[in-house]
Amino acid sequence: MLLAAVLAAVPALRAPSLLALGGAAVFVLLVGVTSGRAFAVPWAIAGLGAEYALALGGAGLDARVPLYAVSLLVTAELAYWSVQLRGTAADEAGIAQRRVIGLLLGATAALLVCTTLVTLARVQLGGGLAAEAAGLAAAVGALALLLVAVRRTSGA
Amino acid sequence: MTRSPTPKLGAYAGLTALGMLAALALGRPELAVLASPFAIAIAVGVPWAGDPRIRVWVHPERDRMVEESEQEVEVEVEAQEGALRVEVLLVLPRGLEAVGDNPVARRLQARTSREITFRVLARRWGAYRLGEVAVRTTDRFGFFSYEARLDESRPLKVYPHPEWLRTMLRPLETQPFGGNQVARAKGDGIEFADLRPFVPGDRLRRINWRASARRGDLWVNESHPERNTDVVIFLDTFAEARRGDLGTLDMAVRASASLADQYLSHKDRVGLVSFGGVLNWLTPATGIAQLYRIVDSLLDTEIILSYAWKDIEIVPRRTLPPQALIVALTPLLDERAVGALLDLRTRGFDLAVVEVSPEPFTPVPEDSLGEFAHRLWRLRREALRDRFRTLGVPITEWREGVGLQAPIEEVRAFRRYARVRR
Repeated sequence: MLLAAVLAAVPALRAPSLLALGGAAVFVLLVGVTSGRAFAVPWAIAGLGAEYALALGGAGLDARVPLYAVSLLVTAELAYWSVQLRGTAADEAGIAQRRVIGLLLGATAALLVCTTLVTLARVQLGGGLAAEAAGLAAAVGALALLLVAVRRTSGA
Repeated sequence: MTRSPTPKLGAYAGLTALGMLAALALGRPELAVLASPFAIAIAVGVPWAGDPRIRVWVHPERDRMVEESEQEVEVEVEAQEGALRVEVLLVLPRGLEAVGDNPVARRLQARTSREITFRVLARRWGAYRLGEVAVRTTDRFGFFSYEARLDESRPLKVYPHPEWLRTMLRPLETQPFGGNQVARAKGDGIEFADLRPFVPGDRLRRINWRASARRGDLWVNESHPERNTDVVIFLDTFAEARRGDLGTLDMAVRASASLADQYLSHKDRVGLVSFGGVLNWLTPATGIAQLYRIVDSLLDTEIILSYAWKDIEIVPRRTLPPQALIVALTPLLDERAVGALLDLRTRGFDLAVVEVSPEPFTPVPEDSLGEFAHRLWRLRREALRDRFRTLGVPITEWREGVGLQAPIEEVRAFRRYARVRR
């Protein structure tokens, strides 16, 4: 929750009017975690992301976005973990440590990828319709690949 | 194992799609970067997700227990693929309870079995099946959950908690076989009965020399022989009164098991008639095997609703031997059981009734009409008891929280002063 509060506060430093949106997202997350309702988590994350997007305004490429992105992932993971821990099963010692280690490794890997993406975004390749079309096709293709992978593994 | 996607998978996919589309729409690459960790998680996690193929073996400590006792049940779990957190639930039927954590979560390494120990408390007597295990786990990224109910169950018998008994009801008549009961008739035995003049054929060791010296003639001791008896436990299973985990049937079953144990330990023959929606009977026999037969039969006892009129005629004749003592355990709630008992009495059977009182299980209504109805019901029950007493049948009320010895003593006292009307 502390991480979510920080994520809500950071964009509000640029645009204080967005603090309400961030606060609402943190509240939704708080309700979801305390009541054990997992469906609240993506809405809260989306809210925090929207706050960040609105705070960007017309500024140039934000170099801190990888940190923010990874923090959102970590927030979501911790929130789902909290919801899972509200179950009745008692954990044995050691599970939490392994999970934290796994989360840190995942976050580090995500940070590397995000940093690479930001670096690539800074490269000026020249605009044009072809580049826009290629970018759109790549985005749609990536989404389609994800959906196919999800559907295939769901049916397995 | 049944595999199903978790809400997390849909949430991450949705966040990814939202971020990507927003990035395209707004022309802000930051939003694509924001969505990329979720996309990476799905891209890496989904192909890696695989069925952990969990297997389970259940090893109970014992297959027989006594009510209110505990035993350890070891559950051996093995996964073909490692799982960070596997929830294991030992499914317990009503009447059995877990002492301690159930379910528990354990980490499983690939192809390495782990033993989880559960403590199980037998709360109520009965025949159960123990060993069904429900397991649930997720893949490493938590995108898919895998659930299975693995049935490794085996029978578990929970015997009723014995009631403490010091003395037993003595039957009016004994049987011709040797036992521990002192017969009313005279014959070879240990208990002194009377003196009589010596007749040719009497053994010298039976001569009472002191009496002979005083009377100037030979007198011999007579004694009561030790015989066994036939006892039939009559269990009324037409209806019961119940509150929570305790009911009149539970009390009656415990009493039946204790009575059977006590009589059989005195070398008597004991039979069982479970008279209710379903008729069960065991012909009288003796020995430890008969005790197990009776207790096993009691474990299957349950109230089965039936509207069919049944009388004592449907009980096989050999189940009720002549001169047998019939100890009835009944809540006196069903006309058919009451009729059968009165019928037994009119046929000359030596009958004693322990009324397992349903009154503690029947709260008094708070409204005046309900209270009046309750009083009327109690008066009718009292009239019913008087009807038994008029026929010379000892009847005593046994309430929850009172030892079985108390009603048995009451019946003994009644029989001490009352005699069977032939």
